Amino acid sequence: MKRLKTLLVITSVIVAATGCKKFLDQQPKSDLSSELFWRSPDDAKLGITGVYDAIQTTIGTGNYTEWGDARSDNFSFGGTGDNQINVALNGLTAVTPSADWSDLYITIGRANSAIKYIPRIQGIADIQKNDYLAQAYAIRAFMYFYAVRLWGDVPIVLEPFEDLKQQPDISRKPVNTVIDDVILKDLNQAYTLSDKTKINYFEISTGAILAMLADVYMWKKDYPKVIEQTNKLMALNRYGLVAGTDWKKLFTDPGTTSIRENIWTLNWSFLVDQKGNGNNNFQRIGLSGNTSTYEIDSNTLDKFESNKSDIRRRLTYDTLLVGSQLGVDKIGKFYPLGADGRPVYPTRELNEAKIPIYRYADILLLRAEALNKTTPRDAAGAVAIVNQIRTRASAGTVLAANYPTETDVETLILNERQKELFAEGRRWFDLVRTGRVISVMDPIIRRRQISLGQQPTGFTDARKILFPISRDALNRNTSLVQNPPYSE
Amino acid sequence: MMFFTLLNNGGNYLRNNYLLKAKMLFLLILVSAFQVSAKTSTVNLWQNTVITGTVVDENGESLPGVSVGIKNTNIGTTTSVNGTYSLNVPTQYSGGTLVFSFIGYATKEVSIGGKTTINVSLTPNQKALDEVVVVGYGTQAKRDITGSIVSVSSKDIEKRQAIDVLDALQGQVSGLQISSESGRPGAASSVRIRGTATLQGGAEPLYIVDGAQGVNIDGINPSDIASIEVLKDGASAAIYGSRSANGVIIITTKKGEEGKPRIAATYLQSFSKLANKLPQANAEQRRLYDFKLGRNSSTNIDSLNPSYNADNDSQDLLARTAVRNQVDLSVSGGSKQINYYGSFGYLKDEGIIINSYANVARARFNMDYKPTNKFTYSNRIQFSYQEENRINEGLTLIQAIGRPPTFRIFFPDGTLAPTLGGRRNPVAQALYRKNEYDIYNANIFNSVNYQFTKSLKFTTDANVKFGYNKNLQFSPKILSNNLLDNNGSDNYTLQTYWQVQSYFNYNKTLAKNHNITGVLGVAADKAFRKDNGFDGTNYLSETVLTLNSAQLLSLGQASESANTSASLFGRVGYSYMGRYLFNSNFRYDGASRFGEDQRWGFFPSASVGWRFSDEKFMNWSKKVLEDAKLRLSYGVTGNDRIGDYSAIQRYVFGQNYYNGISGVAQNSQFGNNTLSWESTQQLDIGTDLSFFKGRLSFVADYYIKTTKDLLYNAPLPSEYGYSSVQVNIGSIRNKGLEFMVNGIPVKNKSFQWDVSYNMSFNTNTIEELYKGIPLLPGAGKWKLEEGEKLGNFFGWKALGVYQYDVSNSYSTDWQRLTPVDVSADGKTAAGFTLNGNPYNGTVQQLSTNGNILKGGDVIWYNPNNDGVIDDGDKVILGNAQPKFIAGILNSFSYKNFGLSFNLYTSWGGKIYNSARLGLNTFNTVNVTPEVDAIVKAWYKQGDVTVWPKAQQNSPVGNIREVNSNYIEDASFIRLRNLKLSYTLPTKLTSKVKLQNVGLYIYGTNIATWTNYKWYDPEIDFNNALQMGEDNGRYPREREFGFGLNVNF
Repeated sequence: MKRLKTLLVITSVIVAATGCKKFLDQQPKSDLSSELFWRSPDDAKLGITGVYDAIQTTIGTGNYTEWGDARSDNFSFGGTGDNQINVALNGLTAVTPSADWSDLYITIGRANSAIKYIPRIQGIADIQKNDYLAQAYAIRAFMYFYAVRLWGDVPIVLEPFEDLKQQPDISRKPVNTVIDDVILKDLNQAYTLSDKTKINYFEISTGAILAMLADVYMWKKDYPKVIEQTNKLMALNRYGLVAGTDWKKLFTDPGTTSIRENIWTLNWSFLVDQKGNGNNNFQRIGLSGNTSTYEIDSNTLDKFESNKSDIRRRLTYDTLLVGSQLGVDKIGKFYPLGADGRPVYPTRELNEAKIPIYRYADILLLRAEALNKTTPRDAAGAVAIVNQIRTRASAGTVLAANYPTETDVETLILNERQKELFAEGRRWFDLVRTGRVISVMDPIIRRRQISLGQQPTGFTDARKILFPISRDALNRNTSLVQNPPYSE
Repeated sequence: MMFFTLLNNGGNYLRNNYLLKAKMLFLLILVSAFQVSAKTSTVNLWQNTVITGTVVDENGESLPGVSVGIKNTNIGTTTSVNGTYSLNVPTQYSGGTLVFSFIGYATKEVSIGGKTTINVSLTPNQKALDEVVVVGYGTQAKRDITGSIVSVSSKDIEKRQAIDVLDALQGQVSGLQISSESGRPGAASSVRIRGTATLQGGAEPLYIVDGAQGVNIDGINPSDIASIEVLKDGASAAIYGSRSANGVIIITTKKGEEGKPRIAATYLQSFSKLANKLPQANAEQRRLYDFKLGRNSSTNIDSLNPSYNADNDSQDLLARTAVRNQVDLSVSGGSKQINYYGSFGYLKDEGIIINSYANVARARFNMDYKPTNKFTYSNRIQFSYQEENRINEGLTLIQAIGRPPTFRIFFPDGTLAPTLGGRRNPVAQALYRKNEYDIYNANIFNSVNYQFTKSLKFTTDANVKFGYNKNLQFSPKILSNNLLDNNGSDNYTLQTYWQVQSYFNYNKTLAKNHNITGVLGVAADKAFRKDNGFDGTNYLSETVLTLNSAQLLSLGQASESANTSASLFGRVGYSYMGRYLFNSNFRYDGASRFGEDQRWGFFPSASVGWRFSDEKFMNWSKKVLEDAKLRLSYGVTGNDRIGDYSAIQRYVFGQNYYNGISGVAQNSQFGNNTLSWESTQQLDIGTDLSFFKGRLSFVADYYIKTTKDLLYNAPLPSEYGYSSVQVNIGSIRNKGLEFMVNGIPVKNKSFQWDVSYNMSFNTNTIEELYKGIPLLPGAGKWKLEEGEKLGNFFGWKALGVYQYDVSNSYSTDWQRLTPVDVSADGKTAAGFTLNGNPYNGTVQQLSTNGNILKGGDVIWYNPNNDGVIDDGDKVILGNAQPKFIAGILNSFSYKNFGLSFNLYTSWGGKIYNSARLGLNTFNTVNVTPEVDAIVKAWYKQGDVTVWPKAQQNSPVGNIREVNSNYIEDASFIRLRNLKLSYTLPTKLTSKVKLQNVGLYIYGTNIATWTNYKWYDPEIDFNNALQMGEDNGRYPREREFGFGLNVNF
């Protein structure tokens, strides 16, 4: 019994002793606590990858189309849901999914951390370190650029959030402040820091930064600056238009070094990105076995069908569907063609179409627009660019004489952009930028309403060009004020 | 008994033969089952006196199988079939005492005093107040309880054919709400004691099994349970401080009883069917629907294609009569020094949806060994293995109900049709999709205790748990849209847990009337969990489903986490003559999950009881009111059930890939290093009354339970770059009243009626939230805000359907106008009236999403009076929580027959029937709406109905989620179970050498009275943020079965 008593006492002492502080200190096993990250050169690479991953979530799972195309005349509703009908009929509300900017700010948050901590990492060559930083700045600018184009005034956050007691100012700031003090500043910073020799289609390189600068100045209507930036881009001597025979490869095989037209493409792999859900953006507009959320609008289809020699017609959609019972209900532009020359649609799970962000044709056409708008106006130069694009697409050339006014040329360029960049998230912003939303969309929306047996109310309120701020954001951040006329 | 008599009396020649002893022991276990009551041993050498007698029960009926022994010896026997016994008493014991004991009866002692005939009558020990209940780290006499504790005995459990512990408890205890998540075999249940007092901190009670935490209760066979105690108030639970805020359920498993080995075998078989079928459109109604949609030409209604011209009843094809088989065997017994209980149970449970099943094997070994008066060693070992195939309801049931009846399911050659018109074949999905689980659980608990003195005992114990859960999923090519792809996954979870506890129990009575009790101890534990898995695509073979068959693999999940806690706890109790009672528990807990400086929490409690029936001034009532007690308790308890690392700002791996690199990024939940305990303060006032010598008892409690420092994932402004933060702010208050009445209205020689009624009311209020920000979980389907209840549905209120286009006419202040003399096309009216008076002012129209509402569209409530129906017009549509729950249990016994049944009700809650809404959206043309939505749908100007027009691609959101048309009353009354049993007369059974044989037939879920439109209004409430949505769960079955119990 004595031994037993001793045993009992020992056990209880052990039990009591385990209650010490160390026993209660449990560190994460499959994650890393924040003070252990941003230390090694590898951390910089992994952290930047994390920022790109956030872009995939922000635009790669649907917003690329929802933000850039869905509200335009490129698409009308298809499929089986309420949301696409509301979008196609200009019936956005605070609960429309694409009104939610949270993923966008999560991307900004990750970029903010990278910008703060990458400079502190020891052991990386400066050129590499600076290029990481350039990417982080450019991504942050890219996100704010989306934000101002969609919502107008937006909150500015440039520091990582690290303390609950912090109360950063997250009220909305004027568009111009965001563009001048954040977007342009970041892009110029990025340009300074970027590795001018790097060529990588899936990462932001010097070319992508210049393309963004051109795009932003275009939005600002600062046409000389657009020309200046596009000059710089051309001077890189790295980009050009591919032959018409390679046009499909721009989308199906963007990483091939021979493809010099792609400036920045968002990579996608079904094995690791949003896996199992196959949440690639393009599942909305064409997938094997599923109905599309959006289908090509009849006006735009007619534009394509009016020129049958244009190679982009059959490379954008399956022309055999034209006039069939179901119509052109899928877009195969981003998928390879099968032996029969028709697009091979992947299943939802296996979809890994790459998402083009900037390519040379886009920048050339922006340059054309700028040439048409600068003083002195260079309409001939603008039309020449359009013809360059048309020739590549075997679409035939146009005569500058047939487009006498500035508006005529702008229309010509925008129509060309619509075909060349169809479903590449450009059309809505083109319409907004050129002030054409109401003139283009009002008749189309009336037509759609009539076909649904509704009273045609059209698109008359210019305030509705901006997206509403999501209910969720308004609920979480009480300093936000809703865009009128959307309900507060 | 015979064996021990033999050893003792004939011990001379056996004493040294250990081998023989061991053989005898083995034989004993095997053979004694068949042995008749012991005849007097022939090897008895010095027999002197033979005592004979008869043992009867309180009604004078003979009692067979009663143990008769001489006190403090191993000499004994049992009574025969007719209750007689005969015992040889050696001379040296002739002045001793005989002890008569029998399960379920009070033990009786009679001194021999030279008598040769001793007849006794035993009385059942039904006096509840003498019972002992298990409280944390010890037991207490039931009459001395000062908190709110309810005890459920094995007898109560035997009245139903429970699948698991929670099934055994449902409806038996006031204040305890149990709902299984669905009717799927193996489905989990949600359990709430006194409402939900937390948002995300985990609202399940703490389970203590035989003194140990962390035991998997699914691994416990209900027939192994001796008793279950439910600790409802804060003061009782506080000894389990940190984890007891949601109440504590203490389960005690059976022990062997001293005496001959008892072997019990039970077998049951049952047959289950779908309790009710949902009304579903037939082919004719489907064609009407196509007509109303205006679908004149489409491949799907090709009148010559046999694939689209069937008339199937998909529910019939998908459901079946399911068979359940269950066998339980147990062996128990013991001597003065050792007792043992071993059991094995096997349950083969088919689900009512084809190809769903759960097979469960459970084994247990309990032993207590007491070699000396001071030392005891105990163990509790349990093991369970469960295999299941879980059916995905969305791909089977929901498909079956929405599928056009015209779509074929089988081809003429008997093979299954693939996905047609976007509609999956529910039968093929059920048969070919695999979602198989293998769940292993093992639990070993060891305990030693040492009685230092009569009043001081020391216990130390250790519990080790191991759990392994494997899930294999596979979807073959035939189920894919293009018939070309297959995919699957293989995931496993490994969990380990250990806990050690050491504590002293003190119990001393001073000067006869002062009883002092105390507990003081320490504990520590650690839980570990590892999840791993891969997803695979393009399997080479659909027979080989391990991952080596998949051609493409991707990481499914990979994570590890652990948490630890350490505690110091104690209790002081004082009782003066059982009249004035006082108890105080405390616990000081540290947990690794919290911020470094916030880890420790202190949880005190105190309770007092006053047995006023013992006071002199109550003497007048003694005849009626036997025992009466008032209780008051107050306790603070804690909740630590949050993520293991919520207090740490983390960077996460493996889910941030880009361009072939696995990136690292901040967790979207912001780490909050100030996190600490959520604490719940509970005040409980209760009374226990016992009338007419225990024939009627009444227990009532009122409580106020306030949870402070609420742990929940609060939304952060996403502009910060994070989606949420785990906070420690906010408060919820639950108030409630609950009572139980137990009575024995009739009791005579051959007939007895027992009735028990329990009822609970609970309301809760959210008192405070982080920065006052309301929560809108489930994409805004619920709204949680300060001053409101948990579980408020948030959506649009439907007021009807516009009769004409022109019915959408409103006055300038948005009052609805009545059109007069409406034109034939419904577009214009000669005039309008407002509240019966002509209206000549401006007429406005409601619009939504930029479109003006027309005839056949839903009339929405427009509370903000802006003329536009949008999310600014959402209002609270009802609450998911019931106003009260109640249960009534009745049991009747007449001679050898027994009848028991249980009615259970949940009243006043609402359900959001999202499965029904999903059917009726009209968006996917091949989803067939419910019959009323087709037949009664508005079709032309002037139709008066509440069902909106059937229109695909309607831009006005007539079926918006959530709207009041789909918020349904969830009240129900259910005849939960009914059992008719018959015990064979002992005279008959003894002839075949059996002690006891019982037969029964029973039914479960026999009838439900409800207005709810989907299968079943009983719904789980696991997620406090998203309560009461029915998205089409696996329906609960109606079961009828029979069984057999045999005791050897």
